[in-house]
Amino acid sequence: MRDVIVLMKDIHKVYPDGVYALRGVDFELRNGEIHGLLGENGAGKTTLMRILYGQIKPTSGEIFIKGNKVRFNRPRDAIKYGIGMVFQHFALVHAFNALENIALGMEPSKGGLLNLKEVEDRVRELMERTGLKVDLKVPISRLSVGMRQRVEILKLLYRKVDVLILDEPTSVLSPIEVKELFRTLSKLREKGKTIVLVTHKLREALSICDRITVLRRGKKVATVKAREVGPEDLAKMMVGREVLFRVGKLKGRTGKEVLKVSNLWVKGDLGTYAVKGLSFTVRGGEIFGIAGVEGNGQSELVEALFGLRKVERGSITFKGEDITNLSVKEIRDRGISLIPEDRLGRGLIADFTLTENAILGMHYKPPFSKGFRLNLEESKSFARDLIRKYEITALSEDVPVKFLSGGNQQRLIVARELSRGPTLLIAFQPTMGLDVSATEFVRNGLLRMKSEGRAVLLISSDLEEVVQLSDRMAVMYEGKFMGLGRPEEFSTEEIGLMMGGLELHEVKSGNS
Amino acid sequence: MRLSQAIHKLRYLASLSRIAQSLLAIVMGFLAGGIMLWASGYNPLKSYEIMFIGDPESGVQGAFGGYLALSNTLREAAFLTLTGLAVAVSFLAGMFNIGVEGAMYIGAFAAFLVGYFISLPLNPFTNLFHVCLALLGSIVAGAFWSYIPAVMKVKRGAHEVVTTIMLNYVAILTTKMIVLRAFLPKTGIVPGGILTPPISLSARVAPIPLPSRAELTLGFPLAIVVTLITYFLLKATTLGYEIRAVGLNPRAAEYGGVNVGKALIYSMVLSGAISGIAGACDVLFVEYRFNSLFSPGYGFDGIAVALIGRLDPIGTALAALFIAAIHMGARSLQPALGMPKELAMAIEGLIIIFTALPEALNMLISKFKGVKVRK
Repeated sequence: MRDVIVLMKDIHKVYPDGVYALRGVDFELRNGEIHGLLGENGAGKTTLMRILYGQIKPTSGEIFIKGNKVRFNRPRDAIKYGIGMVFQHFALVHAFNALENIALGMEPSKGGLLNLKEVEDRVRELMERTGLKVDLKVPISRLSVGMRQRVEILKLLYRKVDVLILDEPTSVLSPIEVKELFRTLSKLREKGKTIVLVTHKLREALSICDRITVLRRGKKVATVKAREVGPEDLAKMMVGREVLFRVGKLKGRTGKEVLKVSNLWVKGDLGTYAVKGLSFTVRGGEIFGIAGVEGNGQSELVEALFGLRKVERGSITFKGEDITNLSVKEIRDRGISLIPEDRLGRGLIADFTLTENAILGMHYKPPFSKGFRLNLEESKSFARDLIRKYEITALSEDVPVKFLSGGNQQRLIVARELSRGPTLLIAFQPTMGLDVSATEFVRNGLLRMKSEGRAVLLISSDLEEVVQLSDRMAVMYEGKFMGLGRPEEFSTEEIGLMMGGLELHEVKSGNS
Repeated sequence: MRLSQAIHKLRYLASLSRIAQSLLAIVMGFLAGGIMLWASGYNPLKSYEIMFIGDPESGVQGAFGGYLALSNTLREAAFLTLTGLAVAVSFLAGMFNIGVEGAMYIGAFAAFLVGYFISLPLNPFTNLFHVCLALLGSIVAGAFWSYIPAVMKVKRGAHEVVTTIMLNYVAILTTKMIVLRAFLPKTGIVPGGILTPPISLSARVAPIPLPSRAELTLGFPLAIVVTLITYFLLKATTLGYEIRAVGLNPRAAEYGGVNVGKALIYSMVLSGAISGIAGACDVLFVEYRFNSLFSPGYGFDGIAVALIGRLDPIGTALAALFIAAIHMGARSLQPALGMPKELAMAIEGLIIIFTALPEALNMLISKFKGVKVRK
């Protein structure tokens, strides 16, 4: 057995808002291995690694580096011990070139004058040894995402890091860039570096890792040798064996086709396609669920459906009418509601009162607007109605919503969107971060919509939620559906495989 | 449930303390100014008394110490209220509009043109008509002037701070040039500025006489009316709702069906219109001509006024009165105590900085979060 370089023992983490992220996780890293850290969203992968990197403190638990007990207060402490982390969102200064970014924070100076020559020599030597080639003199803003990632890695190597943590490093890369990255990682392993690869992609984990640790809901499931397991085993561990109960599902009478999406292509913020040719329909009286790990194009899909993002190709048809690239207002007015993913970022205006938030999206229509005037009395009584009917805990309708708890903020959004009586309700991560009662409240709301014959599109990374509530479901991975069907047609394991990037026919043929 | 309600109540009360914060800031400002006065060998309390009430020995009036001083304070407050409102309306939408000064000059010049080239037989009705027409001219011109940087931002992403500052120069210098080339030959060289000839009698509004030969110009009552209209617009109309929504959270506004670019443009047009009225006040109520140096920087002082007023119309009007009083009061320190002018100005600046600080910090923090317009 090779020597253990990092040992994390019984790590617990409770966030200030009460979310239990880690429940006693042990994690062991051996010198010179590539170690995969696998799990769904919210499994605690990133939290665990941020603790190791000193960015957040564990609630309890111990960390040993090469046998010495350590306590990190900030990333700088971790870097001193040779541990560095590259995040999904890079922390680079766009106006600086690669060299300046690498030197940032530890610029060598002679009498107050910057001396980058020294840095350049060392970085060039590093690039020679590791094969991580980057144009050092070009501003970061002009480098591709793959190149930026290299700069991040070089930055850490320059700081003489031995343990390199990469958080979902392939999520922003093209397939060719992924290959290059993996080649680099292998080379780094040869040079004696230890690497942690945080990912939810089964194939990637299996293709490069020596060992894999699987987390589920803040607990470690197992640490296995990559050579000894297949994707099915990992999927099973990742998703869990718990029987997925199908509570409260009513056999609704599915009605007419309400939403039809054909060959939809949408670009993400980086200018690459995030939604790649999706086609599906949602009928009245049914809940259509889209499962998948966050960041696989769900946000872009939702934004495109609601007029918040441009559709590049394909079409969206609502009740027989083409609504592709209409404005938000036009889409709202046709009877589509959205519960957005980002509560305070999109769904509410934190400094507005409950009343003002209650009419957002309806403020330009009667009875809330009379000509150019806002009907304040009507708005207030509407807000009071929502507070009563949807059991929102608030002092009054004049309180800014930033003073409400997260659960009550979400109740307000749900109340507002349901009260519009939409023909189609799009619910995006509607229960994320909510406690049990609020979750129940939201899910019942969706079921009620369905029983009233309305169409519901549920997009969630909470697999259980999708399986429980949906009449039909699809699994989304990198902008495509890996499979589409009734939830009971899939085993948990198969869904796990699809979430990890295997297509349904591959999954089925692999099983038979 | 009880506990969480209590917590909510506490947090709610904390938000009310914004007013307390403002008051505290004012106190801090006076303390800082007091230290400076004391260090320079003046009695702070005595100095403040002179600033606001006056000095019976020398007969100097403080800002509120007599009709004459009061009328000066109110005239100044009128300009600051209007420019403050103009700034507030654009800042509320998240537009860092520095261009109120320029729009004010354009508004003043437009009012002059309407007042000068139209001449009506004098009776109360034509008088009212002509003044309203001139005001309308200034509103349209100011609104148009501020529309330019708004469109540049929404369509092309040009940053409003840069464009509005540059447009200030264009406005101030162009009007000056026109006066020099086209009107100065008719006016003749006059001490006290580069002036046009006076406007028609039918476009003038005489001040309301006060005791002790003091006069109240129409600017102050007009500023109060504009304050109330702005308050109504922001709080009780769909447009005001959308402007505030865009300023507080553009992403949520967009989700709520608000056209973010349009709201930004409307806020700037509104700001320009109010700036225009500020300019017209000087031409129609005070000087009866266009003075190409008429503003001591009202448009820029408006930024401080709006921030002290926490971008609230009523608060802005109160802040304008406060700043005008400090300004007028500082002027009476010089004759009463023989204080150097520079020191009086430094005291004035110190008080204003401290008072504006809390909201300025808020603005900067929210600005760092950034406003993006989707094309």
